[in-house]
Amino acid sequence: MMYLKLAWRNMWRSRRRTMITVSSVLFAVIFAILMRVIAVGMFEKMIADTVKITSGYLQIHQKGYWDNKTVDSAFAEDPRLNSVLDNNPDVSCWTRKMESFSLASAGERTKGILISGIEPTKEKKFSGISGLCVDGAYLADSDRSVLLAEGLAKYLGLKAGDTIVLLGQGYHGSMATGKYPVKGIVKLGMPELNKVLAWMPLGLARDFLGTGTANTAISVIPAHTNDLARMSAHLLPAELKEKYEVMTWQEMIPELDQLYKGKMVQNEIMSGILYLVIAFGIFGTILMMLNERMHEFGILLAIGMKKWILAVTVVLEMILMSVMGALLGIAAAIPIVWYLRINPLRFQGDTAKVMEKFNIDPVIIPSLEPHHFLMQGYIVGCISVALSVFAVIKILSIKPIDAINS
Amino acid sequence: MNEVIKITDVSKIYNPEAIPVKAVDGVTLTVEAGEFTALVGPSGSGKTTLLNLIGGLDHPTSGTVEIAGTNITTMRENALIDFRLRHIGFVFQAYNLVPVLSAQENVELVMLLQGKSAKERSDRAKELLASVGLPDKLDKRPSELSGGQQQRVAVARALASKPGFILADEPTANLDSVSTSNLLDIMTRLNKENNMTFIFSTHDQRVIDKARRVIKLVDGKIESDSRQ
Repeated sequence: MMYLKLAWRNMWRSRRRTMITVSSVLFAVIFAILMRVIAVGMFEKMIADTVKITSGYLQIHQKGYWDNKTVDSAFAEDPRLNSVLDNNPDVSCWTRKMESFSLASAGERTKGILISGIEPTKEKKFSGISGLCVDGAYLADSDRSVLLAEGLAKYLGLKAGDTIVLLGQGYHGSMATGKYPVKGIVKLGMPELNKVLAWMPLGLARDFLGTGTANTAISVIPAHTNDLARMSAHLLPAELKEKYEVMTWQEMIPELDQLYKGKMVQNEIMSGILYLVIAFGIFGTILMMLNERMHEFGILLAIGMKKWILAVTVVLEMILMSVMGALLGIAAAIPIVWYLRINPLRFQGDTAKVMEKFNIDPVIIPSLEPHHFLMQGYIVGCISVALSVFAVIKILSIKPIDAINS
Repeated sequence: MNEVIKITDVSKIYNPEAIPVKAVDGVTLTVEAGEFTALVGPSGSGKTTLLNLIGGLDHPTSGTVEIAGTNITTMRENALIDFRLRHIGFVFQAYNLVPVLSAQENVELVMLLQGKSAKERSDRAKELLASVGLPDKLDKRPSELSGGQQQRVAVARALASKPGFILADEPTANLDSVSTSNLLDIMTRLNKENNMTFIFSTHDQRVIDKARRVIKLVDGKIESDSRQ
C-alpha cells in the first residue's frame, strides 16, 4: 500500500508534466474511441440493414442451392426444421424467403430486378421494412400486390397504386409472368439495393414462379450476432444437415465482409498512429523522470530499497498516470458518443454521395458496445507496461554510487 | 570491545586505465562498537570515498572491508543492498529524505523494506522521531521542515533499521549553528545511551570537538588517528 502511495504521490511531484502526459493520453483515447465507435457503428448499421433485408445473419438452403441459385433448387420444407428453429433459444426470429430474378416493366421502361418473396407479418419483425414505407402501405400476408424499393420505383416511374409487369423464368423452365398492383414504396438505406429490390408475399411469389409450397431459403436472425460461425455449425441436427446447408452472411456476402474488415484495418492503423503519439508522450515522461530522480534512486538503494521494488514503484507510477488518462478519456468520450447516438449526424453533399456509392447509409450512429471503450484503457495500460520495461532495465542497471553522484 | 568495521589495506583508484586518481590509498583501520568517530581532512582527501567503501556503496580497487565479521568487498549488488538495509544507517549531507513522504513515512520506509508490520513500523517511527525531538512533526513533509529538522528525521531514518553503526557524510554542512548543536546533542546522546556507533566525515570544528576519535586523512592516507 505504501508503495502505491509512494507511486501516486511521486506522480504529482511534477504536476504540470503529469497533467500534460495525462492530457495527451486523454485526448488520444477520446479520438481513438470516437474513430472506433463511429466506424464500427456505421458499418454495423450498414451490415445490419443489408443483411436483414437480404440474407439474414444466417440462411438455410437446400444443399447446393448457393452454387446454383435458381428456383429449381427451391425446397419443400421438412416439418422438423420449424420445430428446430422455434425451440432454439439462440434464434431470435426466422422467416421463409423465395428469391429470384425477373424483368420488371412499366410504361416504356424495363429493368432486371431481384424479387423477394417474404412472409409480410414475420418480415415486419425480421427486417423492419414496414417502417421504411414512404408511399402507400406495407404488404399483408394475403395480398396479391408488390412492394417496390424507392430507387426502382423512381426508375420505372411508378407510385403506390400503379401496376408493374414482371417477366421471368419459373420453376423447371416454366414462364413466370404477372401484372401486379404496387401497394407501397420502401426507401432503403443501401443505394444499390434501393434500385433493384421488389417484395411480394410468399404465396404470391410461389404462384408467380410456380414452386408450389417450396422456398429458396429460410433466413435467421440469432439472439447474438458475435459468433455466427459457431452457431451456423450447431444450428441443425445431424439428420437435417444432410439435406440443408447453413451459411453465415459473411459467406453469402463476402464483399461486404471484406469491406468491413478492410475499414476496420484502416481504423486500426489510424488508432495505431494515435497510440504511437501517446507512446512517445509516455516515453518522454519516463526519460525525464528517470533523469530527474536518479540521485533519489541512488539514495533509496543506499538505504536498502531493492532494485525490483524501486522498479515496481516507477512502473506503478507510469501505469497510474496512463490509466488515469485513459479513464478520463473514456469518461469524456461517453457523453459525446451518447449525444451522437441520440442525435445522429447525416453527411451531406459529395461525402454522402461517396458513401452511398459504397452502399453506406451516410449517417453517423456510433456503436455503444462497451468493449470499444474499455479496449482503449486496456491498450493504453499495455503501452505503459511495455514502455516501463525501459525504466525497469534502467533501474536494474543503476550503480548506487553513480546515481547518488548524478 | 568488538569490531564493527575492519578495513584492511583498502585502496580506491579512479580511472585506473587513463589518469589514475588514488582517492583512498592503503587504509587500514578498525572501528569498535560504541565509537563516535570523525573522519577529517581537506577536500579531496578521500573522506567520502572511504565512507562509501565502508557503506558498501562502492567497491575498493584492492583490500577488504569487513562489517560485523562479513567481508562485503566480494558481495554482489543485490546482496549488498540487503546487507546495508540490515547493518548500516546512512545520514547524508543534503538530508535526502523522500520528498513525497511525511517524516513518519520516511522513517517507516526503511522498516517496510525490512518487512516489519504496520504497527511495529508506526510505533518505532513515532518513538524515533520523539527521540530526535520531532514528536509533533510526524505528518510534515520534508518541504515543511527546516534543514535541521530534516536532518534529524534523516537520523531517525538511519536508526530505524536498528543498524550496527551509522555513517554520516558531512551531516552538519548545511545546518546553522543552532541546528548543528541540536543534532550533535542527539547523536552524542544516542551514542552514549544506546551505544550506537557513529562515523562521520566533517570539516566542522564543533563536530570534531564532540568526537571521541578523530581520524585525519590526507591524500587518501591516514595521517593521524587520535582519541580524545
